[in-house]
Amino acid sequence: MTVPTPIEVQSRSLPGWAIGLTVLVFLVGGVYLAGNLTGENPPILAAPSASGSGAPNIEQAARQIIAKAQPPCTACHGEDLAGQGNFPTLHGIAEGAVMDNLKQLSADHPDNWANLWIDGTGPEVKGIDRGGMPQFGQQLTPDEIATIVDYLKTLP
Amino acid sequence: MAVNPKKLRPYDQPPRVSRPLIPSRPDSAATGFLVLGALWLVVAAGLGAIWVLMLMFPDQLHFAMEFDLPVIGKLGVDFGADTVSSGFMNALVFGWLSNAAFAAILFITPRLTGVRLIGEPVAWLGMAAWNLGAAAGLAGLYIPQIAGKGMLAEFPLPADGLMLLAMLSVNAAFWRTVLAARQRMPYVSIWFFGLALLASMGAYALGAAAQAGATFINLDDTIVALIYAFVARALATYWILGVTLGTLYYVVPRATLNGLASGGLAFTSWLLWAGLAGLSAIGALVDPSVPFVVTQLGNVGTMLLVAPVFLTVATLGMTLRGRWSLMLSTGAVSLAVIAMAFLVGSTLLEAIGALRSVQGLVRGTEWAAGASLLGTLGAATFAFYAFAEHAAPRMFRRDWAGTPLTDAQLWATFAGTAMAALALIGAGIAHGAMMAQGAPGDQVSGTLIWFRMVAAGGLGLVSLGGVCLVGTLFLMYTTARRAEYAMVDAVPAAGQ
Repeated sequence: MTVPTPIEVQSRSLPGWAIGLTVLVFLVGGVYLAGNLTGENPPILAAPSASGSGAPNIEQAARQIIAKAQPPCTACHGEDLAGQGNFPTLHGIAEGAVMDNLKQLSADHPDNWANLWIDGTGPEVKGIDRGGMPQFGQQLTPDEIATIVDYLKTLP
Repeated sequence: MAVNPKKLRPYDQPPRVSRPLIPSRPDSAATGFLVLGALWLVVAAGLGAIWVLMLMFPDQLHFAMEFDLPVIGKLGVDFGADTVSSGFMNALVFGWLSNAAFAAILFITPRLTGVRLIGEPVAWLGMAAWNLGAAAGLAGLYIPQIAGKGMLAEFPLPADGLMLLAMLSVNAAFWRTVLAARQRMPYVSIWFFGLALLASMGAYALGAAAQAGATFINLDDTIVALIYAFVARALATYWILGVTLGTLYYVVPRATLNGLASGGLAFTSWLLWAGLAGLSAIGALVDPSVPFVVTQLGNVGTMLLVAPVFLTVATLGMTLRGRWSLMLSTGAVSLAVIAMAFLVGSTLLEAIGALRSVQGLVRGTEWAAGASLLGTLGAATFAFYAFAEHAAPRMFRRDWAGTPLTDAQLWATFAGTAMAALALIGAGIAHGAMMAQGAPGDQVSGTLIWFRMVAAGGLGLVSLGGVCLVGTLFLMYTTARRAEYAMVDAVPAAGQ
């Protein structure tokens, strides 16, 4: 048996075009990074299923319902639901209401206060100033409202 | 002169050859890895076709059962789109691609170092442990009580242990051989293999530690999910991409009989890959607890991976100079060129997919699976096909010039991969666009069914390509004439 010869290398130098190309690619990356320094990552545990089946995809399901509602939640509360103008943020409600007018409702019904508020047709929310918030119980099912609430609770 | 064997006296009989339980013949472990890998390819692509069919008919093709077993108690089995897609990716990465990668490393390393593989039996142990672990882990994916939620490497702890043992074994065989050769500047493939082996073992150990943390000390779910996402991405960039590049750097010069065009370019591509593969894995850390700029830095790493891939393809393209006619026939060169084309395509698509605006559109759709298929079933699979075309006759010591089966393997896999990947990418874009417009679920499913049908057909074709590879290996071993090839049979002397 013989030992095969190692693979011969024709040249050991680095061509100038390769250096230029590498520098150019890094420059493009740097410019992109400089333009995307601020923002917020979505939560990993609410991330959609990578299989494409959409089964555990709470965000997609909720976004579909939000878009279907009239007016859509995003029309008043902003595209990222972080609030705009007089309309409050919908982030950070996992531990209870952050709006003053809903704190009592949240204390009385800690498990489903958000569902009751979005629905808006039940006796529990009678007398609370809705500030222009529609009664979505007239157009969405309880399951659809529950999906929106589950999603809102994932927003930090 | 005819001899009646009954009249042979004891001293006329040939000496009995004792065969050890674990073979130690040169290339025996590499052969075992390659054959098992080919079988895994059939399983993986078959699972892929079933997954896409399940996406088309989610209600009709979802099987969930519960068994009441005497000792274990109630045991559920879930055979639906999510579990089968996870099974497909795991069978593809840990079954086919990893076995083929181990085969390439164990075959190529002795030939580049000039030293016979040290620890052939240890590599055999690795092969047994890896495939047992992968099979057990794959089975565990369908049992909801022990299954992970992600797409890759969330196997139960015992399976993780077996696979870590396997990685340790192959690392030991590789590093002992490389260190015994005492080369001052090993060939670039050895650099790729060395870092790929170490990084993948580290990443896998990190994933197993997260699994242990979740089981024994109730580690926070978010931390565990982040670690799994990091590990899955690191395995793709360090392990699959690294061994693919290292293999192409070996196969193209060997198959063309040309020297490597530029050592400087090759080493620069290694340096860039070594840094950017890790940075790219950071891009998988998507959670409010991770600073946004860190995730974006990782995404930029994914975009910059275009640079080492392009340098590799340019170097190998220059190496092919004067031998382009080899592409006209089915062989190692044409398979390697297809691998390079897929490599450029998949890296560019991953770079596009890392853009913030694109992520917003296609997140959670079929896009990720489609882009990943271009890299795994396209680039890596064809690189390992090219390796198998070059190495299998040498492993089996057979005179083999190919058959129409090899043509069928190439075209079935090529057409199948292109169909499946492009259909899934198209489905991802359509899916994301319809979701953004708030289209109802029925309309989304009705549109996507056509894309998914094409993808299912494509993955079925890839499975057929895998069957052709198994058939080729079988025919090569059973029907071809024996031949002797130059091979490394030298074991370094003690103390060397």
